[in-house]
This record gives sequence, C-alpha cells and structure tokens, in this order.
Amino acid sequence: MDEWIDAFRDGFLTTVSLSASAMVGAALVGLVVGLLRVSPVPILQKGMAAMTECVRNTPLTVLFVLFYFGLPKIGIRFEPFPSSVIVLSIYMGFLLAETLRSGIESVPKGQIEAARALGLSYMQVEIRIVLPYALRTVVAPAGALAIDLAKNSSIAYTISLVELTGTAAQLTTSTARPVPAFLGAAVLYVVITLLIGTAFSLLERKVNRHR
Amino acid sequence: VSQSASRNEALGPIARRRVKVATALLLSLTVVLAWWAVARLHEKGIFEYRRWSVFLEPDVVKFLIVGLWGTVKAAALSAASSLSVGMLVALMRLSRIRTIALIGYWYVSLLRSVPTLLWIMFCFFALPSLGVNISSLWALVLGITLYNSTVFAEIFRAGVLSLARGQTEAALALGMSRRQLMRFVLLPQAIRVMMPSILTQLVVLLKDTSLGYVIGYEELLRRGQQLGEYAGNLVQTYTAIAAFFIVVGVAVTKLAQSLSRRALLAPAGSSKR
Repeated sequence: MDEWIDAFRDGFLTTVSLSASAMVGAALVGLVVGLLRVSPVPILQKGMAAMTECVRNTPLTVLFVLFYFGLPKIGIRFEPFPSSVIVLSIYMGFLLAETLRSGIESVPKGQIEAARALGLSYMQVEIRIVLPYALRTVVAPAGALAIDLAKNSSIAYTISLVELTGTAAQLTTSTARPVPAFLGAAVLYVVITLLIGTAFSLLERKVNRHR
Repeated sequence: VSQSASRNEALGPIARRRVKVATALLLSLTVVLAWWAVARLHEKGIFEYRRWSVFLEPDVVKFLIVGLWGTVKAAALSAASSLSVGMLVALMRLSRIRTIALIGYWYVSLLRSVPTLLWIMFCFFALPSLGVNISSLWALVLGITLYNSTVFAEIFRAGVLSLARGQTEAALALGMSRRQLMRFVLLPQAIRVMMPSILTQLVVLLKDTSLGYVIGYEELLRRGQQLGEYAGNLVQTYTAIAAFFIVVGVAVTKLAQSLSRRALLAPAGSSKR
C-alpha cells in the first residue's frame, strides 16, 4: 500500500508542478503573442497568425517527440521536465493568445477613441485601457485552457516523464494491477481539474465584482 | 484590411512612417534569424539531400501510406463512435426524466476531466485484465471516444438550446410528439448551427489519433518514428508529419469558417431566444 501512496503522491506533485510552471510560461507566451497579433504592423500580425495555425494544428504528441527526440540531433537538448514545460508553454500560449486577441478585439471602440482623444499614446491605450478590459473577458476561456493544459500534461509521458499517467503505467508494470493504477490516476486528474476550475471561478467573480 | 485596422483609428503620417520602419526592421531581423537558423541546420546536415530523398523512394512511401491508413482508419472509427455516443448523451442530458438527465450530466462531467491519453492507456492495459481482449486499434478508438463524446454531447446540447423557443412551441402546437420534435425540428437545425464547432472538434479528434503512438498502434507517427530511426532522418520525418496535420487542419478550419459565415445568414431557427 505504501508503494501506491508514494507513487501517486510523486506523480500528482509532478503533474501539478509541471502544469503550474507551464501555466506561467503559457501566460507569458500568450501575452506577448496576443499583443503582437493586434499590433498595427501587418507583418507581425500575419506572421503570428501563421505561427498560431502551425502550432495549434500540430498534434501535441508530435511536438513533444520532435522537441525531445528530434532537437538533440541539431544539438539542442533538455531534460524531460523542462522540455515538457517549454512545449506546453508554447502550445497553450498560442491558444491563449488567440482568446486574448478576440478579447482585445471585443473592447468597445469608444473606449479606445476616448483614451486617444485624451492624448494617450498607442502603448498607453493598449496597456492601461485595452488590456484590463480584455483580461476580464479572457478569465473564463483561460480557465478552460488551464484545465486543458493540466490534461495535456499527460502527453509528457511520451518523453518518459513520470507524472500521473507515467505513474499509472509504472504501477501497472510493478504490481500487475492496471485497473486500480489507472482509476487512481483518473481520480487524481478529476481532483486537479476541480481545483483549477474552482480557482478560476473565484478569480472570475473577483474580476467581475465591479461590473 | 488587417484585423487591427478595424480596431484602431486610421493611422496618421507619423504612425504610418513608424509602421514602415518597424516592418523594414522586422523583415531584416527575420532574414537574419532565418539565415542563422538555416546555416545552423545546414551545418548539422538537416538539408542534406539524402535525408529528404528518402521520401521519394517507393518502399518508404508505401511504408508511410500504411501508417496514414492507420491514422485515417482510427480517425474515421473514432469520429463515427464519438458523434453517435455524443448525440445519445446530449439527448440524455436534454431528457425530461431527471434520472436520465443526471446520468448524462455525470457521464460528461467525469469523463471529460480525465486526459484522452489516460483513457487510451486504460483501455489498452486495464481492459484485458478485466477479461476484455482488445486490439490497439480498438483501445485507441474507445479511448478517444470516451473523451470526445463528452465534447460532442456538449456541442449538440448547446446547439439545441440555442434554437428559438418558438420552434419547440410551434412543433408541439402542430401536434408533434417530443420524439418527432427532436428528430425533425430541433436536431437538424442544431447540427447545422453547430457545424463549425463539430468540424473544429473533428480536427482535434484527428490529432488525438497520434496518441496511438504510445500504445504501439501503427499510425503515421509510429511509422514515422520507425522510418526516422532507420533512415537517420527523425527531424525531417517528424517535420513532414507535422506539415501533414497542419495542411489538413488549416483546410478544415477554412471550411468551418466559411460555414460559420453562412450560418450567420441562417434560417429563423438559429436566432437566439
């Protein structure tokens, strides 16, 4: 029994820390790419839109194996954990940028015009007026993406990171009891998604308090 | 017209000059970076002809086509079963019988909180120990279905709920039974309204088939790995596979977009209550 508890605890903590680190990374990538996608410079918009199409249409499994098994052939090598954080941050970051872009575009035009009329510069308008508005509308879809991120972190198993899914696979080999191994992991995933869902609905309530 | 031009005011002369300067700077930066990347990749032999010419050999093409067939087969079976189970669960959730609606609710809530990969591995490793012998193809299809059916169920349900209430009232006033109402009035319109979301989710499902790689199912990625390790062109093969998924994904997304533009001009039933 101790073996099970230890294994599940380690797997749970790995999935949680991987998801948390990748969420921070995805937020950074998403913010930068999202702002570039609404910049007045056409080449930035088009370039980032094309990159978004490429990233989101490639299966995450392909990105993981390309990054972990492919890149060492051209001299770029990372351990499984940082590799997973990087791949998940880029993949989910581009998806987040897409929701951020539509959030930014939904900001009422009058707000921007008023701010410009008051003499604020383009960047001031973006940072002080548009982003705060957009971030509010983005909280709910970002919560859904965060849950997807936690679930997608299971694909890190393909590059031999022992997170929850890897733990279930290892327990299957060591104990020959696959049913409790996989159901245990499934329950822990449900717990993780519930935690993220609760956190984001609290955040949503907080952000929308003054509406 | 670019997206932000509709959002921002018309650019003045100074801003236009800035945009030109930024474009020039970015273009040169891109060229420099691309040059550096290409030079570095070239140095590592990524562009060597022999590593790409492999894809022109008939045997290699045949080898990859078998993988592609595996992908198509798994995707088609998964799509069929996910759509039908999804439809069934959506009907359960819309049922007026509380217990049935509740079962549908718990099916969706519990199954969609667990990663698709875990479901696939559960089907492949755990079902045999429960006495169900299952091939890697069916483990993949079943695992993909367990997750994607919940998404399709939510799409169908949202579609039905988005229809104007008058549709239901008119059908009931005409003397239709609940079953006829669903079958002839609500579902056809719901599917039409939701076509863009359905297509988008089908792309996700197609991408999910590459998880078959984990349980050794012979699809595109698994075959690609075998080829790449044999021919020493892993990077090239994985890049080619990514390109395949990007082309298919972009094509379906374009189709979905043109459908959703048309759906905006759609019939009375699609208007919100």
